[in-house]
Amino acid sequence: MSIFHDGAIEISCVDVLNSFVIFFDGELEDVASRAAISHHLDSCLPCRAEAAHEEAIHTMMRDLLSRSCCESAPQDLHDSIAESLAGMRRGAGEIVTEFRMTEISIQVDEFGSIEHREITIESTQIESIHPEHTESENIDGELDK
Amino acid sequence: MGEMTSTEIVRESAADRTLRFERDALAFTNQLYAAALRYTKNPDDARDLVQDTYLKAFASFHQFEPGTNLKAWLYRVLTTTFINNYRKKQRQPMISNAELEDWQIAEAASHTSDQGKSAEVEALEKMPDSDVKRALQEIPEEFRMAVYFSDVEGFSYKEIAEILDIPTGTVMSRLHRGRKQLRALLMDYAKDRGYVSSVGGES
Repeated sequence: MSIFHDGAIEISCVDVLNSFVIFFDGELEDVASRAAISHHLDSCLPCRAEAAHEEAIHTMMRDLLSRSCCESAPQDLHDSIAESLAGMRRGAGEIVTEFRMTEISIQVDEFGSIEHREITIESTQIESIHPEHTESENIDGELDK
Repeated sequence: MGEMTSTEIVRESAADRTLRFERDALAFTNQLYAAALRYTKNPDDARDLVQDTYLKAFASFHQFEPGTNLKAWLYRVLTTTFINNYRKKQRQPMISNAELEDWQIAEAASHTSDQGKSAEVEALEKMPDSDVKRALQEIPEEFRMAVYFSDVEGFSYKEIAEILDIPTGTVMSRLHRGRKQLRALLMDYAKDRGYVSSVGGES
C-alpha cells in the first residue's frame, strides 16, 4: 500500500501541528506517520508555512540555549575533583581477589529422612601492589590461605 | 551425596579502575557543571553537586557497563544526587504526572499569522544570553531539564527517559510544554524590552 496515492492516510492540521515537536527532533520513528505528515505538508499551505517556522524556531532555540548555557566549571572544582580521585587512587594500590565456594550436601538416612545442608565460604584477599605492604584479609575467617 | 561449586574472580584492580574513571569521566566536568547550574540555579550549589556527583559516580563505577553511554550515566548520577541531596532543600513544587497527560488532545494547535512568525524570529535574534538563562530558570524544573537535555546536550528521548527515570511519553510532553513555555516567556521579555515593534498573536 502506498500512502501517497489516493486513499492515503488523512490527518488533520491539528495532528500535524502537534507532531512537529517529535518530527523536528528526528524522533518520529513510525514511517507511516512520517509519510502522512509529509503528504499533508505537500497539500496544505498553512501547515507548510507553520512547519518552516517551527523548524526555524527550533534551530534558533537550540542555538540560543547552547550559546547561553555553556558555563565552564571553575578551575578549583576541576582541581578538587582531581585531588579527591588521586587520593583514592593512592589508597587503592591493591589487587582484590574474591573466592566464593558453596558446598551443598544432601543426606538420606536409613529411615528415609532427608537432610539438606548448604555451606557458603567467602574469602576476599587484598594484595597491595607495593610488595612491602602485602596483606591478606579473610572476610569470615572460615578459609585460610 | 555431595556437590561442590566454586568460583574465583580476579577483579580489575581498584587502581586501574580509578585511572579508567579519571580518563573517561573527568572529560565531562564542564558539561555536568552547566547542567548542575540548571538544576540548582546557583554556582555554589552547582559546584557541590558536581563534586558529589563525581564521588558517587566513582563509588558506583563498577556498576557502569563499559561500552554503554558514560555521559548519560553520569547525568543519571547527577540527577539522582540532586534529587536526594538538594531538591528537598529547595522545596520546589512538583508537577503531578496527571497534569502532563493527554497533552496532545488538550492542545488546540492553530496556525499563526505571518506577523506573529516574523516577530518571534526577530525577538529571538535579539535575545541576550542573560534573558535565555532567566527564562529557563523560570520554567518548572521538570520542563527545564527535559528541554536542556534535548536541546543543549542533544540526548535522544530514550536517553532522557533513562536519565530522568520517566517514560518516553512523559519526556515528549515535558519537552513540548517546556519549549512552549520558554518561547512564551522569551516573547514576554521581548515585548517588555522593546525587541519587537509589534507582536501579532495567534490567528
